[in-house]
Amino acid sequence: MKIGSKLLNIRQTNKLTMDELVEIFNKEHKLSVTRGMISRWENDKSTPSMTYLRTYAKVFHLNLNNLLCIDCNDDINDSQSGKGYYNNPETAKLVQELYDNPDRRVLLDATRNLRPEDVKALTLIINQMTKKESSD
Amino acid sequence: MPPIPRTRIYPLPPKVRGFCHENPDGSVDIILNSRLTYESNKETCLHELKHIKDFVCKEDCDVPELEELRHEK
Repeated sequence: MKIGSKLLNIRQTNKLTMDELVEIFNKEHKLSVTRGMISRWENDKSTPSMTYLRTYAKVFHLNLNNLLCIDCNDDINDSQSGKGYYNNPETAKLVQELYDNPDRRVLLDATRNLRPEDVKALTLIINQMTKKESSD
Repeated sequence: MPPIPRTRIYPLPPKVRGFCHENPDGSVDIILNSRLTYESNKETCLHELKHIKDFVCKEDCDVPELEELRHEK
């Protein structure tokens, strides 16, 4: 997803009009943003500078790294809905299940944007390892 | 004194740097991602060593919050 589409998606998800966003940027963050600038950013006609991107991250409680991950497929809204380290709540749930398994309690070191599919793949690997160990 | 954790490398999904798991006998294994660099594995190993203490909390442990805390440090 291009950055413009992400910015549009963020604004629409938060049910803000362009004028309302301009007001937040200018009044609360002392910037000089116009409606035209936001329109150009959202339509990928221009790219916001780091100052504006940082403000987007601050206003919408986003991870700046996710915002800058222009070509990745991670859902930007995930970072707003997840509690704790992981951006995706489904991932957080699966990671919790891995820990709660009384037979083999697992704790990970993984990136924030870990996908549920990655956790499922990891669970298969762990099961294979367990089987191999018990047959050795 | 708890037993020294056994460390192994294994091909893991790219977003997983590694993990540690507690065995039924209370011993702990650390698994590192063989697809990552030696330096990255060293960092992960330190992260996992901190986690070993977390196995003590056992019940009612909120793992996503715990990870948030561990990654802040």
